[in-house]
Amino acid sequence: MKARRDIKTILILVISIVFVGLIPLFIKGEYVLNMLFLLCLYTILSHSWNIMGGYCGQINLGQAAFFGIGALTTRYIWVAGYPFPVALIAGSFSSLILACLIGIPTLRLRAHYFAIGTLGVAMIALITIQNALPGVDFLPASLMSDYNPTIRFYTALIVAALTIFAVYCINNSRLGLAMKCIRDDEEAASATGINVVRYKIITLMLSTFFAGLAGGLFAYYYVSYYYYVPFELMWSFDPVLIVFIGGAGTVVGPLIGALCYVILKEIFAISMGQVNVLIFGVVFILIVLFLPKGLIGIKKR
Amino acid sequence: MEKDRSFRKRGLFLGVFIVLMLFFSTSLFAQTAPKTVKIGTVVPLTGRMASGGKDVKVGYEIAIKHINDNGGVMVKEFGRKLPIELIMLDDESDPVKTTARLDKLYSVDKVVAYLGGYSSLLNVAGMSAGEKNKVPWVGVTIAVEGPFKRGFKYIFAPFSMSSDQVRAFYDILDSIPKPDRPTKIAHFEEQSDWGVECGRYIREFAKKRGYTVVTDQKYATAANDFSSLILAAKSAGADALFSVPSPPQSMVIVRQMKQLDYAPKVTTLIRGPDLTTYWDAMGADANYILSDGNWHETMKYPNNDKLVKDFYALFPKEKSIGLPVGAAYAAVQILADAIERAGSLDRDKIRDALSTTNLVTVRGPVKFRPDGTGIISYGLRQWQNGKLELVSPPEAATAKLLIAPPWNKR
Amino acid sequence: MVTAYIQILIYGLINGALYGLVGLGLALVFGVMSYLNVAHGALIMIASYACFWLFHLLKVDPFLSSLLIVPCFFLLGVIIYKILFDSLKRFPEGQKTKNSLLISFGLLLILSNLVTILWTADERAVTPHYAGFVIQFFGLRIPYIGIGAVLFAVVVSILLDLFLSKTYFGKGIRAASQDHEAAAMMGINVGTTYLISFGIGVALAGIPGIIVSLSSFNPSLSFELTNKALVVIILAGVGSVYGVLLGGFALGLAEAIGVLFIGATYREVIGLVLFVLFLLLRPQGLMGKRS
Repeated sequence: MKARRDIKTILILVISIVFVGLIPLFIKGEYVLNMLFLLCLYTILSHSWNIMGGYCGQINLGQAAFFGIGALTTRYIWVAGYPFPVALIAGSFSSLILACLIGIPTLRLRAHYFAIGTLGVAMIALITIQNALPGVDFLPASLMSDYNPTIRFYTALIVAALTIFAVYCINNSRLGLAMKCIRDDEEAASATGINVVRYKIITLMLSTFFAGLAGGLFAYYYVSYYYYVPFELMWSFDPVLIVFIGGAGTVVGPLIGALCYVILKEIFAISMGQVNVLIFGVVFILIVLFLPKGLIGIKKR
Repeated sequence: MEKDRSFRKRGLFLGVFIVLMLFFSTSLFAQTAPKTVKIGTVVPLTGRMASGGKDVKVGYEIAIKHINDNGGVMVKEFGRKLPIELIMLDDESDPVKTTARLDKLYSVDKVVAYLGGYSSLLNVAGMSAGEKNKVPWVGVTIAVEGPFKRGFKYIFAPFSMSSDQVRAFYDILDSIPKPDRPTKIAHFEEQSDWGVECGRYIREFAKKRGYTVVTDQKYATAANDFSSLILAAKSAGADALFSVPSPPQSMVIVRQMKQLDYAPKVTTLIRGPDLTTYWDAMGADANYILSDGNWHETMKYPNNDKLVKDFYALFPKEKSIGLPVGAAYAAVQILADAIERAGSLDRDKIRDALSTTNLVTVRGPVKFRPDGTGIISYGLRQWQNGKLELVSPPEAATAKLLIAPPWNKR
Repeated sequence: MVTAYIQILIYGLINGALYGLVGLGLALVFGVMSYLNVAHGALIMIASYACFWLFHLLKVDPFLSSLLIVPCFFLLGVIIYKILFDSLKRFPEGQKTKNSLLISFGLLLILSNLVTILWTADERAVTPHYAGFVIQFFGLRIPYIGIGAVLFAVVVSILLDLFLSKTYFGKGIRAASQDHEAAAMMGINVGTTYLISFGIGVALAGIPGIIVSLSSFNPSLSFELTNKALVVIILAGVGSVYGVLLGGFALGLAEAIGVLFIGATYREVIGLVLFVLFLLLRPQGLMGKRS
């Protein structure tokens, strides 16, 4: 029974990734690529949050700091002349380092104190970057001339597929089991011999690693932006909303959430003018009221 | 049974949801009919930049209405006049969405040119979309010069740059007769690229023109308490103040200046006090404050009276017109003129025509430097009894500069 | 020089009063029913508009308008609770927090955009004739409005504390916040308690709304205010009214002290760094008890 459900999940995941990968072959244009890129970006970022928030129950609102530092480092190393994959890995390791410096101490905080302690970290990072780097991060002309959105999208798709695969593996591993135990009852988990602190640290490292990857992709796709843009607090809040809307602590949930969040918002913005955000808010509330367990709850019923 | 019903309700909800999504998604890739000149713009209609976004929107719309009332723009390639079709999208004041939606306008709607949004945050995203997609971009409300020094080819900003603004500030100080003329400058430097750039010019020009910058105080873009800066300026005896605060900050600065009894003879706050609601918010405390004079209702250039008349016809309740309205109107004039001179809807030809612009717009004559920044005449406005009066440059001024008295003499 | 330092600290204290007021309503709702109402900032912003229109159309003094705004906001809170939040009360605690967060986020979007559409996103402020007046002594200048803000913060905290500790409803609220099931068994109607606490939480958004309107506001302020409120309630913990007030003052003073040492650029960073350090030393908040 469980094995069959697993195969079904894998099938759904593989088919949807391949499907997304095929779309640009049939519908041409920058816009389609841009939307699909955003879909991948949000999937990675949401899953990075999902690992910590969905599986382990630790609400981390500092994701913007880890996303931002990933973007900053990746861009810097890439522009310095190293190949992009090297820069991307370096970027996600810079997130890991930040997590060790700031994240691990905050793990001492419990429940919502952790949430808001990490929000504080994100705010500090944002204001510091605004003050220290007030300018615009331009892509140099040499890199701009061979700018190709198709390659950028497929890079993001590969990273997204790897992320989903990683989360799938975590979901079915002993690590995942320990994380869920900590989420459900920290004291009971500790009593059954789970080293809570150790698992929390591992979870945080994994989570920030993927956040850094997402940040690196942001730096890869966008031509020029103010240095502080990837540090904006929306990069903390958006993944939370996406994961909750889709279904926390699942592999498929954040995918559905990202699809809903990115595409629905876009459709509203294109077709409704100034009222688009208002209507989106109404629809958002209706979804939460009717599907309190997230969009994934439809299937479970 | 109970479970069953709620399941059906959910199913129904989901069904409606999917149908709606499908219905609207057709609009994502739908193409509109040709026979028009398609111009695209992404303007912040919601979010934190929405107050300026609405002014830019109105400016564009009135300008395009005026052009289309005359039959549109003459395109030689087709031998006839074509009306302009403006496709305007919202970006929620988020530069990531600005980029996405400008890409939509480029690849789905196939616009021939972009008009800018509002604020440098969003315009920088817009400029890079223009350069990346090779679509000419004409935008206002960006004053920072840095982005124009990158060798971009497709961007044009007929707007006042930071050096224009600082020069106007010193010009107005120079115009004050000797005994009254301030000599000690205080500068509150916002930690943004624009603020830092203004700071550089303030110090550079002070040296050349014989002023001293006695205090140079930095503040964060999110600052909401300026007491330490004001006290520093007051104790340094600065008698002229320059800064580029955001609207909320410009209100807090003036309020705290009054509370701390600091009244320099000349207070220049670019950006914040441009707001038409500034007087409503601040009352008589707004008196004597100088602000951006990029455009003014009384300017005598052709079409300006028509713009003002149509604006008040559309918004009879408004008492004055926001500065971005006129600047945005001029941007459309410049773009329409370039399309006519290009005689074609080819993006590169329009770009080339833009670079040789020499046009008198509603805000005066405009030319472009090779980097895309505008060569424009520029002055400052001053709040005088509920009205923003143009006090410089001398040839366009509607009122004389008033020197601010101490707070207890007002 | 010393005068200037004290002057800056006074402004820190005034800002702190606002921070405390901003956190109060959020703390009450979160403490009693684990609802994380992130629309709190939007409700404060709406109160600022209410104050603005009362001042401009009817010439009502902003501080007096609290007498009208607070009861109206209580009603508004009751209505919002009935429509949006009532269905959440049967969920376990974690899900209550999560779903209330999502719903109130939607509400935040709706309210700030509705205001933009109705009244534009233009920056506004209320400027009564005494806006720039100050009391002077020893060379210090203390603005009337600042004194009003501090007084409001203290008086509202005292009233709220009296209500919670002395009245029947207040005791019910406190009982429900400690243990719903026990409270229900003692005959306290948890549903009504929730309704009233939420109403009071929203009514408490009215007060900071007035203080904010005296400085300046626009629709997108909602997000900033919510963030500030979150910081304050964690600094202070949610258990005690005076704790929240103290947390607000502490944050305001910490920012001001930071300005004295490092300058205005990193003012907010200093406040936040102190706040995170403090959290690490006292993970249960300013007034919380060690569990």
